[in-house]
This record gives sequence, C-alpha cells and structure tokens, in this order.
Amino acid sequence: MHPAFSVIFLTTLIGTGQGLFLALYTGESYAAVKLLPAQDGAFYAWGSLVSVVLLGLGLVASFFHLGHPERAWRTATKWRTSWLSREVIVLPAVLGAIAVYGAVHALGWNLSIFGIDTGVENDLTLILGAGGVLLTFALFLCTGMIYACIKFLQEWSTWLTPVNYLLLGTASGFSLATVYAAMLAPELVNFFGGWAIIILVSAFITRSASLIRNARLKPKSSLQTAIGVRHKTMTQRSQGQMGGSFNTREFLHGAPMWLFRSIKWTFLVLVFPIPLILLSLGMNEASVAVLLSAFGIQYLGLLLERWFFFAQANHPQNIYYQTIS
Amino acid sequence: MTQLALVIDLNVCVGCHACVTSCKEWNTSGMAGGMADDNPYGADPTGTFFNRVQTFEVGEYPCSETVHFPKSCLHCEDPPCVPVCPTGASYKREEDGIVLVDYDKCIGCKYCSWACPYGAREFDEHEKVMKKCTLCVDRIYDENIPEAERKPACVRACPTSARLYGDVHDPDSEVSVAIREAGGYQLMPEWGTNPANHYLPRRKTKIRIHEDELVRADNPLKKETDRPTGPIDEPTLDDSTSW
Amino acid sequence: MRKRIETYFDPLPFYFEPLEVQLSDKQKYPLSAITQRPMAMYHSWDSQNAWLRQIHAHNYLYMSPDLGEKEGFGDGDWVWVESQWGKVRCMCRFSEAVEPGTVWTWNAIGKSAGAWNLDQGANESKKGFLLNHLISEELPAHADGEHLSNSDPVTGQAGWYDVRVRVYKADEDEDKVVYPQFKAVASMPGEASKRPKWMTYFAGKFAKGGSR
Repeated sequence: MHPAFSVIFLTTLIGTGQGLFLALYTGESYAAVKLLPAQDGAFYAWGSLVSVVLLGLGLVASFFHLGHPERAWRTATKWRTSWLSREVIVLPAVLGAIAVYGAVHALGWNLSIFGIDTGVENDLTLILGAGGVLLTFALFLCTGMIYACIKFLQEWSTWLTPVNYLLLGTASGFSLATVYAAMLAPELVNFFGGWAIIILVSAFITRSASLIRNARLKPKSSLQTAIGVRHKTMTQRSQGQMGGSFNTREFLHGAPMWLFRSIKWTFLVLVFPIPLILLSLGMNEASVAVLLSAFGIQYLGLLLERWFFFAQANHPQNIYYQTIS
Repeated sequence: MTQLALVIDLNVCVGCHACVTSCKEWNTSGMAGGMADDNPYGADPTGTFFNRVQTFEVGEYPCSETVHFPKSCLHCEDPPCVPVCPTGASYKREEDGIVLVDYDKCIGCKYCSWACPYGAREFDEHEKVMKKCTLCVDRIYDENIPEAERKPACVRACPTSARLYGDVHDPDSEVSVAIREAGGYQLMPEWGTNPANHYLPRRKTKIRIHEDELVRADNPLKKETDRPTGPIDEPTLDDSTSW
Repeated sequence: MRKRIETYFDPLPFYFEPLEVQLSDKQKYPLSAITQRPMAMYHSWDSQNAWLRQIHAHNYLYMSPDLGEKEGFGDGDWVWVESQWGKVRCMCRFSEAVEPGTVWTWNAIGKSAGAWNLDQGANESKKGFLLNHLISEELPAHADGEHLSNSDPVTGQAGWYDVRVRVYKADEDEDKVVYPQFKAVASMPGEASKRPKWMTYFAGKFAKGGSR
C-alpha cells in the first residue's frame, strides 16, 4: 500500500496522546491507593492538555487525507458497519473525555464521591478518567481494526494489529509521560519510565511477532484465482494502460527495495533498543534532556514503523498490475 | 431478487478495447462523470477509467495462449467495499444489486478501494471522490433509449459479443444460461465476495467425426469398397476415376 | 524482368524464399521482424487521442525469452534492433506467444517529438519507436536491378515483413531514449499554443458561476 503521511501522523500522534493519558491515569490511580505520591491538579491538567493537543493535531492531520473534508461529519453515520466510522465517533469522545478530565483537575472540583480518603485530591476525576481509559482502549481498537478487518490484506488481518497499535501508542505515551514527570514531578520518573520500558518490551515482542508472521505469509490469491485460468505458467503482458493509474499509485509504496528493507531495521532500532537505553540512562540520571531524546527518537522511529506497516501490505489487486506493454 | 451483472467471455474477447473507450465516452459526459485525464498529451498520460482490458499469456511457447481480460467492478453480492464506507456513499441497490457510489456523500478517504480485492475502484484526482463502473444504471433505465439498446455501453460496443448482460439470479436469462453451459466462474472466490460478474473460460472447439459419417449410407451403387484405386504416382484426374 | 516473370508467374503457388531474404545476409541478420496494428486505433489516425494514448503510450519490441537469454539481456531492457537498412534503439518485452525466430512491435505508435501536437516529452517520442526505419521500399541493388521495388513479384504487395534483423543489448551508459530522435516539430499555425502547466491550476477558478 502507499503510505499516506497524513495517516502516519494521525495514528502516531493520537497513539502518543492516548498513551500519555493512560500514563497520567495510571499514576493517579496508583496515587489513589497510596502507592505513589499524590500530585496536584495542575500536573494532571497540564498533562491532559498535552494529550488533547496531540489528539487534536492528529485529528487535523487526518483531514489532509480526505478528498472532501467538509463532508467529514457524515463519517459518523455508518458506525454499525464501518470501523472508520466508529473511530470517527470515538476519537472526539476520547478528546472530550480527556479534556473534561483535565478541566475537572484544573478546576479542582472535589465531590468526595467515595467518602473515603483517597490518595488524590479529587475522586470525580477517578471516575471520569476510568471512562476516558475505556474510550482510549476503544480508540486503539477502532484504529487497529480499520486495518485488521480487511481480511485479504493478510499482513494486517491479525489480532496483532490492534494490539501493536495499543502497545506502541502506550509505550510512546509513557515515554512522553516520563519526560513530563522529569519536568514537573521527578518522583514519578522511575514509575513512568519503568512502565514505559515494560510496555516497550511487550510491544517489541508483539511487533516482532507480526513481522515474523508476515515474513511467513503465503498469499491466498494468485494469478490463477485472479483471472480464473488454471494454468501453472502465466504472466501478465499488459495491464490496460501505460501511464499509471490510481491502482498503481495507491497500492504500491514506490520505494526501492533497499530503502524498504532498511526502513524496517531502522525503525526496529529507533523504537526499541535505543529508547530503552536512553530511558534507563535518563531515569538513572534524572535528566530531562536524555529522556526527551528517548521520546523524540522513539517517535521518529514510530513514524518509520507506521510507514513500514503500510508499505508492507500487499494488496491482491497488485496481481492485476504487474507489467505494461 | 434481481442481481444485474455482466458475463465476460474470455473465449471470444480479442482485446480491442472497444468496451474501454465506449465506457469512458458514455460515463465521462454522463451521470457518473467526469473522468479526468492528466497529462493527456504529455508524458505518461493517466486517467480514470471504469473498465480496463488486460492481457495475460498462459503457458509457454509453442503451447501458449494470449488471454485478454476485461476488468470492471464485479458488483459483488457480498461487496466488501460497502460496509467499510464511513459515510454510506458506497452502497448496493436493493432493487437490482448494482453497487454504486454517491458522489455527494463520498469524502474521498479511499477506504473502499482498499477493501476491494479486484482493484475495481478508481479515485478521481480532480473531483476527489471514488468512482467505478455503474453498470450504466443511467442507460439501462432510460426510457428515451429504445428498449433493445438499454444495455451497458460496453455490452453494446463489443464487436465479438464477448460481454453479456442480464440478471444472474434469473435462471432463464442469457447470462445465467451462459454461466451454466460454458462453466462461468467468479474471480478470487477465496475471499467470499461472491461477485455477480462471471467470466466464461477458454474452450477448445472439437469437431468429432464418426466412422459412419465417412461412408455414404445411401450410395446407389453400393460400391464404396470396390472403388478402383489407381497407382499413386501417376497423374490422376480427381474424382472422375471413381465413375 | 523476363526471368522474374518466368520464375514467379506460375498459376500454382509454390514456396520461395522472399526476395529481400534472398538478398540479405541471413547469418548476420537471423531474425524476421514484423509489425501489427494496434486494435484500439486505426493505424495512427487519432492515435494522439487522450484516451487511446493511455492504452498505447509507447511500444516495446516483443520477442521470445530465448533471444534475451542468448544475447544476454532481460525483459524490459534497452536493445538495438538492426537491419541492413538502419537501426533503432528500443525497449524489449519478452513474450511466450512469439516464435523464437521472429520479433514484432506495434505499428504507428512511435512519433517524432512535438508531432501530432503532443508534448516534446511524450512517451511516443521518447520510448515509442517505429520499425519503419529498418525497412526499405526498394530491394538492395543486385544483378537484376538497382532500384527494384521491395514487393511481392506477383501481386506487387509491399514485402516489408521480409526484413531481416538482429537484436543486441544497448550499452548501460547510453541514453534511455529511443533512437533515432528527430528535431522537435514546431507548432503549426492554428494549433493551440501550449500553456504552461501552472496556469491550469487557475483554470476555471475565476469563472462566473464558480469552478466545477
């Protein structure tokens, strides 16, 4: 498939935004049961703002891949059948939930709902945040399922796809949370950093699993099933046009093979081992700069990972577009 | 229920591209248009076509066959492009099974083209909406056209009658008969899309001659076996020696 | 002429090696070259049509893969095809439907740069070629005459498919365009002048009633 930059930015930005919110809420719930020192509302409020900005930027980026963005409101109507439609409903819902969560923290409304002394200032946010977490998981699911539900895109059609979106986005968000904590709440750096590493390692396992699976894939479609002529030896002589068409632009990544392969190894290095080392280093030295570089390098690597995710998919329609003459 | 579709006979298609150009002509100025062309007179011209004819070679010299393969939207009975559309612009008509795109609703996200395993959909770079074969829905129901001509433009244009049009759910229609009698098949059946368009395979024509057709049954002289046979290396005068 | 009439004007057909082949070096030029007419257009008439150009933007020399194996080039490589009359550089396409001693291409697709009111960079002039440059309308000068027509001796039908050629790989450092290239044809009076591409961005944007 041809990787669209707007979608690459969309999925990485919202992934990081969602992961950051998950990190904040995890921190808050740990604080609620007194496993972590409590933070004041401003910590969560500013963090939510960053998360909202990332999600908002992702939403804006997504408009760039539409031919008619002014009609985008219609996309919410087919949620019964389309994962894209569901994502379009859930994404603003997550944005709204995180915004409300951050606002309630900022305003400091304390309703003492539980009536017990929770470790946090404000237990309304615990409930709102829980809703936000559910919506966040739903958003990861919707985003991943948009690609996984197309069963003949065999590279994508696996439960590993939404799991990878979840783990990679969360890892990225926790890395950002580590940076954020290093700046505003240094006592939480080891917590966020530790979890960032754990999630990163899990993401490495699942992403490698999908790479290995894809390397072993046997395509179900062949020239024989594509045109229905059952002969062992067949080649295409002409694809019907000689100047290219939508079918030759949209479904091929267009990069030379050496670049395609090198991007795979590059992202594997930039997303997993280097940030892991930098996070550990940064946690040890409590250095914002090192942690920031960990997040930055990882994000760059995630952009490449997303490009590779799209580029690796072989659409069966490519069987019909092999030769020109 | 009705399911209109095309049956394309690969046994007679000669790859003349008449269906390609007639489809482009009918649709580019019609309800399904425009169909933009880029670089029309420059390098690597490209454009939106609903129907394309491809060529494949089967086998190796000297036992090879050149198969010309027209491809357009197959109007699947279980179209994968319909449920994925977030706006409902991609839909399948209840009354005749034609899969269409509502250009006013389409946001141009291209998701439906990802969902089509056949690559039957083309995105128009100028109108920024997805377009595809409409089975000439504006032609087949047009009362201003004589009844016999209410067929898709490609079917009318084909000089070898390689394209047949009708209702595949009606067992007596031309297309159903062709599918049954010539072994019509669907493309990429492994994905469960159940395309309505079928293709008829290459067939070898065999003339079978029976022994008793070589001997006349009503020969008045009944002298078949007594025919004089002259020496082979002398000049003969064709049939006159047998009288 | 007398001898020709004696030999060839026989009421019953018999096989004879085509006239040009008799006068060609069959060892140097072992292959036959023929052309076919594209089905989508009538020869070159209206082949500049925007739709037909997408179907046949340029042409390849079709040949058996055996030829590529023997001469050391692959499918799609640039090759020279040469006859006793001239040579042409073009791209090849392997095909199982071609018998190993023959090569063929489409007629009438190759055009000169700027001709037919096409852009100078059009595929027809950069990648499309005509086999015509390899074919002569006269037989080589020989004992019977210096300027005899390259035609069938009985019907007079042009014997252009009698041409014998050889095919070999073009060097890697040669330009990846067809040879021969001609000086670009200037616009004819009355032809629409070529507007620069950037102006098309504004086309229709300021029209009354809004752009399409």
